[in-house]
Amino acid sequence: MKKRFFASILVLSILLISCEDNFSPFGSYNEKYVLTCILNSDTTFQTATLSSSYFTGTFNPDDKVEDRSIKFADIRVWYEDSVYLFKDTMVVETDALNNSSVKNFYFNDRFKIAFNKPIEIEVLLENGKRLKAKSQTPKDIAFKSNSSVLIPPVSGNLINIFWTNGNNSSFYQPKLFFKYSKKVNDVVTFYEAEIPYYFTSINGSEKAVYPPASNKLSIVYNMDVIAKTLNNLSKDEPENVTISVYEKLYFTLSILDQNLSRYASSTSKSFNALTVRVNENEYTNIEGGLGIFGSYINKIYDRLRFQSTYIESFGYNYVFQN
Amino acid sequence: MKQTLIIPITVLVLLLSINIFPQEPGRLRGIVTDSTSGETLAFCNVFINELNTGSSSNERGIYLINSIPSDREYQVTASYVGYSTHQFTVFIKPGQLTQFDIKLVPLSIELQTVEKVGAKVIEKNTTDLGLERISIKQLEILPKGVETDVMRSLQFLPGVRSTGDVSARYYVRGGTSDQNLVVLNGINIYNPFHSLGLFSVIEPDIINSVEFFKGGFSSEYGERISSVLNVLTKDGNKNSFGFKGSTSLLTVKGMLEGPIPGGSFLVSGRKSHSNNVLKKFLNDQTVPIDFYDMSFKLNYSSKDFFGNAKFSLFTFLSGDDLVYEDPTRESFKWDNNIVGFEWLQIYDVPIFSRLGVSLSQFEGNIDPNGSNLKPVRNQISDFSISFDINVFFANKDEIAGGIKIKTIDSKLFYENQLGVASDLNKFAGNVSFYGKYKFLRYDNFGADIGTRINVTGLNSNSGFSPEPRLSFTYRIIPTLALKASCGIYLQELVTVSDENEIISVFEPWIIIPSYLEPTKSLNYGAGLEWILSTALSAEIEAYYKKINSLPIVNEKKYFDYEPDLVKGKGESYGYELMIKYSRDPFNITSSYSLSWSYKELDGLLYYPKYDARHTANFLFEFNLGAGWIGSAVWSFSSGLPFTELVGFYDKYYLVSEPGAQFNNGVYNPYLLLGDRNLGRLPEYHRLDLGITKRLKLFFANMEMSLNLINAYDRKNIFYFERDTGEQINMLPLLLTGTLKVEL
Repeated sequence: MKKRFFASILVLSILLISCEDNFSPFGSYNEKYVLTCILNSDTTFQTATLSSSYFTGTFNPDDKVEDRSIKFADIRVWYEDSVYLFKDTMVVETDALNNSSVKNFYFNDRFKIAFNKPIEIEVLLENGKRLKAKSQTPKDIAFKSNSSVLIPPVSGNLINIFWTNGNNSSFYQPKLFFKYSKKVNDVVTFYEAEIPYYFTSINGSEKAVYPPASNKLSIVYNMDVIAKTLNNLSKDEPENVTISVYEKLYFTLSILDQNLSRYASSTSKSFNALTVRVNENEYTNIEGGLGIFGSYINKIYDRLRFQSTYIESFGYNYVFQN
Repeated sequence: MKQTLIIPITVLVLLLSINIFPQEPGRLRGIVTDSTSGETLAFCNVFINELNTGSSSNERGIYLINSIPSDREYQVTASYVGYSTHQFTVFIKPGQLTQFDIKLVPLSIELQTVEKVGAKVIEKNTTDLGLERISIKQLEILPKGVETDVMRSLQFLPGVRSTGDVSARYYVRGGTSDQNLVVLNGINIYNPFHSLGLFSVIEPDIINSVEFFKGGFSSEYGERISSVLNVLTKDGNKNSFGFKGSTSLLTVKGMLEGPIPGGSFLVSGRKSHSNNVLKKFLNDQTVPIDFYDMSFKLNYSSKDFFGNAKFSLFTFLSGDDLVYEDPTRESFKWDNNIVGFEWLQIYDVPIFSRLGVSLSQFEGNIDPNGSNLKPVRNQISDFSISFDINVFFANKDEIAGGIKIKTIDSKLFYENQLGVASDLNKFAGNVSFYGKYKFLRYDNFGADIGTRINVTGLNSNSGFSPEPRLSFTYRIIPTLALKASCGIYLQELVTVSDENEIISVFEPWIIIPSYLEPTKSLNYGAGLEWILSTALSAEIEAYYKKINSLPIVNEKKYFDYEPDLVKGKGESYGYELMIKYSRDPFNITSSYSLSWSYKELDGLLYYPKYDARHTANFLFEFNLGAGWIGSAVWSFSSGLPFTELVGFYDKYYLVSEPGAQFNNGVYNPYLLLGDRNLGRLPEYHRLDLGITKRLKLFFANMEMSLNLINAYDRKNIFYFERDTGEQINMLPLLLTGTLKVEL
C-alpha cells in the first residue's frame, strides 16, 4: 500500500514538472506625449519641453537611444490677457567630462509671472494632436517675523523661520544660503553656500541632505549644521587661503502652485524595504498627455545675519553688509 | 431606545411561553468530551439508530436531540473523527429532558481512521450554506508547510484565496482582507498575523474548533461583510496534567494544561527562534523577524455555583518586533492584547445563554529612526459586553437573540506615500441587537430568519441600520438539498491598507470617517448539496455580492485637508464546486471555483489584486497504517492581475540640491503603466506532500512530520521588480519538518 502511495505521488510529480512560462510583463504600446512647462517669477525666460514616450521591449530604457523630443509644435501660453508663443530651439550642453549633448526645448522671453493669476497652455503637434492644461499661479505668503535674526541666536541652538499659508494647496521649497569668498595668492573667488537640513552618514561618508519641497509652513535649522557647513568651507583648502563670510544669509522660499505641488508630492515617495507595491499613482494635469504645467514664485527673506564673533571663531574674516 | 429594548424582549417572552413547556416527546441533551482530557468535542455526531435521526454537537460540544418518542429505550451512537465510535442505551421519559454526557475514547495513535456516522442524516435541514466546520483533527492532516496554520488551511476552500505563498492573508468571495472577522473565544482579533502576514497568530495546538462562514452568515455575527472565522480554544485537560512541546524550523512552542478544583487551565506559548526558513518566503532577504504569542485559559464550573454554568477567563497576547541591528534603519512593532471573561449557562429547560465581557487591543508602530520612511502609529481598543440567549423548542425550532455594546477607541497617525500626514482619532460606541428564528420543525426544510439592528453606530452615518438575513435549506429528495441565503451586512471599521501593496508590514485600523457611509454589502447565495453515495458527496454554490460605499485609500491625497479614504464600489460573483470522497483508508477533497470580482473608483472599473478566474484544490489523505499518514495537496489558480508596462517616458524630477531651480531639474526614464490590473500573471500551481508518523515512546506520544513544499519546484511568479524586470518567485522546493512531543 505504501509503495503504491509513494509511486502515485512520484508519477504525479513528474507529470506536473512544469516548463517555464513564456511571460512578458509588457502590454501593447500606445505613444503618449509629455509636456513639461514650469513658469517662474525670477526671469522673463520661460521654457517648455515636449517629448514622446517610447518602447524598448526591455526593462532598460537605454536599449533604444534616440532623440524623443518633438519639434515644430505650436505652444502658446495665456497669461493676463496676452498670448505668448513659444519658440522651438536647441542648445548644446557640455558636461565636466567634455561630453556634449543636444537639448531641445521651447522658450519665450517676454513675460514673468506674478502671484495668483490664471495661466493656460495649449500645444498643437504637427500630427494634429492637442495637449492642454490650466493652472493658477501661487498665492502670496508673508514671513512671520520682520526683525533681524542673529546667528547664533541669543538663546537655544535652533533657527526657526515661519511663514503664513498662502494657499493650503501649496508646497514650499526652502533654501538658506550665504555668500563667501576665497582669496588665494591675491585671487578672490566668490561663492554661495547652501545650508543643508542635516548631515547623514551613508556607507561611512558624510552627505548633506537639503530640505525637500513640502507643505510645511516652517523650517528649523540646527546651529550644529550651520557650524558644520562653515567648517567645511576650509576643509581641504591650502593653508594660505583667506576665507571671508558675508554678514547676511538669504532664505529663499519657492512657492509652488497647486498643480506643481501635487506633481512634487507624487515624485517624492518613499517606501520601506519590506513593503512590496506593484502599482504607482502618477500625477499629471496635462489633458491628452503626461507631464506638468505649473508655476512657482520665489520669495526672499533676508533678515538673518551672522554675528561677527561667530564667523571669526572659525578663523574667517567677517564682511559687514548694509 | 426604551422601545427598541422592549419589543424584542416581549417577543422572546411570548415565544418562550408558547413553546418551552414540556410536551409528550422527550429530549436528549449532553456534552461530548474526550475521555482522556475532558476537552469538549465540537461537531461530533450523535445518532439514534432506531429513529434514523440525530444531532451534531455545537462548537462548545453540546448536543440536543428534540422530539424523541418517549417511554422507551434507544441505541445511540456517537462518532467523531479520530475517536472510537461509542454506543450507549438511553431511556427517554415523556416530556423530560434527559441529560447524557458522552465521553469518547481517542483511537490509538497508530490506528487513527476517519469515521463519522450519520452525518448525512443529521445535517439534512441545517442552514449551512457557505459554512465550513473544521476540527483540529482535520487541520492536522493538511501538509503543514513550516507550521500548521489555520488561516493558510482556509485557502484550500473554494472561494477563499490569497495573493501568494508569502501571505496568510485571505480574501473571501471577492472581499478585501479587512472584511474578514476573526473571532477567538468570542473576541475580535484585529491583526491576526505574524511576520508580514506569513503566519496567523492563533497557535493551532490551542484550537478546539473552527467555524468558517464564507458568506450568508446569520444575524449573530456583525461588524464585517465578507466572512467570519470563529475559533474556540481548548479548555485544558480536566483529568490530568500534561505538557506538549514541539519545534519546527521557525518556532519552539509549549503547552501546559491540567485540572484545578472545579475546572481546568491551559497555558501555551510560542516563540520564533530562527529566521532562516523565512528567507525562502522573502526572496532571500534576511529580515530580523521576532515574534511570540501566548494564551492562558482558566475554566470553572460547579453544580453548587449557578448550577449548570461554566465560567472562563481567557487572555491572549501576541507581539512582533522587526528591529535591524543598524540603529539608523526603520523598526516595526505590533501587538495584540486580549482579555475576556465568559459565563456560559445551560438552564434546565433547553435554553443556553452566554455573557461575554472582553477587551481587545491592537497597537502597531513603524518608527523610521534614521531612515526616510514614514512613521505609522495605530492603536485600536475594543471593549465589548455581549449577551446571547438560545432557546430550543420541543418542535425542534430555535430562537436566538442578543445584545452587544461596544466601544472603540481608534488612533492612527501616519504619513501616506506622498508624505502627507494624517492624525485620525475617534472614540465611538455601537449598540446592536440581533434576533433570529430557526425554523427546523420539518425534516426536509430548515430556515434561519433574523436581523441585526444597529441602534447607534461607530460611524456617524450608520444611524438606525437593520441588517436582515435569511437562509434556508430544502431537501428535495433525501440525497439532494437546495440551499440559499441572502442578507445585508454592515462594516464600520476598515484598514487603511494600500491595495497596491502585495506585502505590507501590518494594516492599521480606523473607524470609517464621517464623510463616508459605512460599508454595506448585499449578499446572495444559492447552492445544491448532492449525496451521491455514502462515500461521495458534492456541493455546488453560486454567490453574488454587491458592496456600496467601499472605502478605498485615497492615492491622490496630496494635502492634509484631503480625505484619507474615498468612496468606491465592489462587486463579485462566482460558482464553487466541492466534491468529497471518503473511504477508509483515504479521503479525497477536490474543489473548484469560477469567480469574478471588480472594484470601481472614480468611474473606473478594475480587477482587485486577488481576482483569479479559476481556482482548484485537490487534497488527498491516506492512512498508511502503523501510525503513518500521508497527504498531498495540489493547488491551481489562474493568473492574478497586474498592471502591464507599456513603455517609458522621460519624466521631469524637481531637485532640491544647491543651486537647482524647478525649471532646471532632471529628466529620468520612467516606466509607463497600462490600465490598472489589466494584465494577468501566469498560472499558479503547486504540489505539497506531507508524511506524518505518530508513535508512543515510553511515556510520550510523539509526532514527526516531514513536508515537501512545492514538490516539483514550480516557479510561481509573485511579482517582478519594475525597475529591473527581475522575476520574484514564490516559495521554491522546500523540505521542512516538525517534531512534537506530548507528555
